Amino acid sequence: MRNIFERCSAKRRHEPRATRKSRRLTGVLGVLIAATGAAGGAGCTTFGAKPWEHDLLAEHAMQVASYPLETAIDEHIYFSKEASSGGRSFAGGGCGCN
Amino acid sequence: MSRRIVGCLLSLLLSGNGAARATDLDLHAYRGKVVYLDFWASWCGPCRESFPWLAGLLRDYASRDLVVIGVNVDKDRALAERFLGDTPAAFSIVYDPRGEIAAAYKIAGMPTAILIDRSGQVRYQHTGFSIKKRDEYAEHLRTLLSEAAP
Amino acid sequence: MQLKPRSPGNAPSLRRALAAAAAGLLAGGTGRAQEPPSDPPSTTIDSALLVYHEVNRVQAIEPELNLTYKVNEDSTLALGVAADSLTGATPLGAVPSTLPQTYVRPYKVVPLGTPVTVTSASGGSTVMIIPPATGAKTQTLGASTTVVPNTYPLDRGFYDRRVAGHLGWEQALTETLKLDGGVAYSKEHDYRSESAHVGLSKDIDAHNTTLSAAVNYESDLSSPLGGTPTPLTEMSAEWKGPDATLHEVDAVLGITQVMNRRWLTTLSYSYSDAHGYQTDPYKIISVVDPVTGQPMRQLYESRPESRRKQSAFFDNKIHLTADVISASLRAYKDDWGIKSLTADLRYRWQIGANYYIEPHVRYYTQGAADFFRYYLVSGSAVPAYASADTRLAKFHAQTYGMKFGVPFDATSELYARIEYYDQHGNGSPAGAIGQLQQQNLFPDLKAYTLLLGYTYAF
Repeated sequence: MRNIFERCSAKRRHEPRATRKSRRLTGVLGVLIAATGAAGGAGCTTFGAKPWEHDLLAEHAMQVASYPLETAIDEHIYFSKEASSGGRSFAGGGCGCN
Repeated sequence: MSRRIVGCLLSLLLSGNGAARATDLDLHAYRGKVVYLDFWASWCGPCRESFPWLAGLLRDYASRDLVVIGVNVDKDRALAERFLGDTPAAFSIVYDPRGEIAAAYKIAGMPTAILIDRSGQVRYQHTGFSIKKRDEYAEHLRTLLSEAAP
Repeated sequence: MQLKPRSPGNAPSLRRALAAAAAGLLAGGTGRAQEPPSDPPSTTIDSALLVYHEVNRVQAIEPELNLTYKVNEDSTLALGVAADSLTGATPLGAVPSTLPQTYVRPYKVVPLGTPVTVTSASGGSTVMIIPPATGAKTQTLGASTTVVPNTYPLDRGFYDRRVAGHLGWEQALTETLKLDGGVAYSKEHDYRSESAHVGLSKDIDAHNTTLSAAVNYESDLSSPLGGTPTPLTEMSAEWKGPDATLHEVDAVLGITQVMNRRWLTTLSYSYSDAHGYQTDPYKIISVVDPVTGQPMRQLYESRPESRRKQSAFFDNKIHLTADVISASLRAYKDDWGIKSLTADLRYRWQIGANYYIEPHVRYYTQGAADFFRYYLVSGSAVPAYASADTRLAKFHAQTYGMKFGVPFDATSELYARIEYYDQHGNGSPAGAIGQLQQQNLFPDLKAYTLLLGYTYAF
């Protein structure tokens, strides 16, 4: 019963306009990610976790750059042995706390 | 957000059965008081920072009918209790592991403070806890405390 | 339970809705003491030591230290220093031969008349005196190395030290908008790199989506030992041309999306445009006899002055009950004709509350640069660009690793990681000429790394 209907109807009604606009943008980009083969979430709030559900995302191991030094060292080694380099971006994720 | 009661009826109705749920939060007892609902979690850094400040608020305003209730949204209560061991709370805690109270109040971030006036209406919602904004938070609280009981 | 439809402004309905259970339940966790808790960590020390060992090649040791300091709730300062020391042998680019081969390169410039003892320079090479031009006040010393038959020619005198540092600042402009910028510097005895970057990230959808953009500008100066050789000229001990510069602009666009409570995904695109000296001044390419395949001459390699690189990166972190899977894919291509694909998978296996073990596998495959040649053939036209550096060849590589971590608390951790890297290319290309048919033209690379890391916050 605590279902899709509740989640999306509640969200739509009470969101400020700015958030709704950004949700549309997220939707477009989200579809892009889904197109890479990822199976989406459920219902109309396709992606995302509620603000109070960021417990696991707050864990150290779930950070986008959880071991930056290790990553930098690896990239330095591979850069000196292979022809490719770069490509990463390091923003986002985390507990989503303000 | 002010002048609007947050409608949690529907979600509470839908939230089914079992103990220690959203319905455990009984605000009826606080008729005539100003209620500060603080949604927090052990994994939320700014939440930790807000606790001593909340303790200070309680010291200053408890005599003027301020009630602070911490709503913990940890899935695992043991994590919340460990947090409270490190960072004691000067107020009561209600546990909302399924986020039902959080959903009912449609909180938009962590932590979130919901300020309810003496007549039971939600008047302010503070998303996040910023040291810079503490004066603004306190000002909102004083506004509600200065109002006469209905 | 008594329930009524939502009615704005109707205070009692809220209370009635919430009044289903006894007030006593509130007593859940009544607060205790009033003493203020300790401040949240504001300084983080992140340190690591890398020991890198290539079988029969380069050995390196590299300590690194990063510090971040939270100046206030909106600003963070980041500082980092690194040093490394490399010794050993690197491939020259020349083909092996059934005959002994001797290579010469510039070694040192000394005032004319300086007594020179003909002795070992470094890595088993011999110092030789280049006859000075008439009227010259200095003379050049060369180093000569002889490679035994049927072995891949290596430059055994390889030695380098690097120091590097970076300084960064991150500033929250609003609750959802962050700006960061920084500068970096790196210096080796024959190379200097300076760079500056600026980035912006914006959280939307209640922190579930983060959009980011960053640009980096880098300016490098190459001062090779013996000067900068003119591409495709014959290898010699003569002192070469002046320092050479390289300028590079990189841009990255990224989106990080919380897919659900357990799944975080990042998609990014990066573009890089480099202009300037991108040739390796120490690498050569053999010109072989069209019948016997014996190397006749050794030319300095030649690479284009311009390079445009693009890559798409897709990263996922998935939280299982306690374990975390990290899986990423990178697709890369550049206008040198190189295409590559990288797949990386880690499984963080949480063992009890205090340890984890993380197996790691990585697979990498790349195609060759358009101008990669194992060798050039005497009598055929010399192309404008040619390199026999096998890093530009078609090959694939695997990494197998294991990490063991001991997180002490939320903010400090000790870890150790060991990895094995294995690179395979085609050592017997089709159409190899004469004696080259019996040589291995791709120097296989096997490397071990040991990484020790310690992170501490206070």
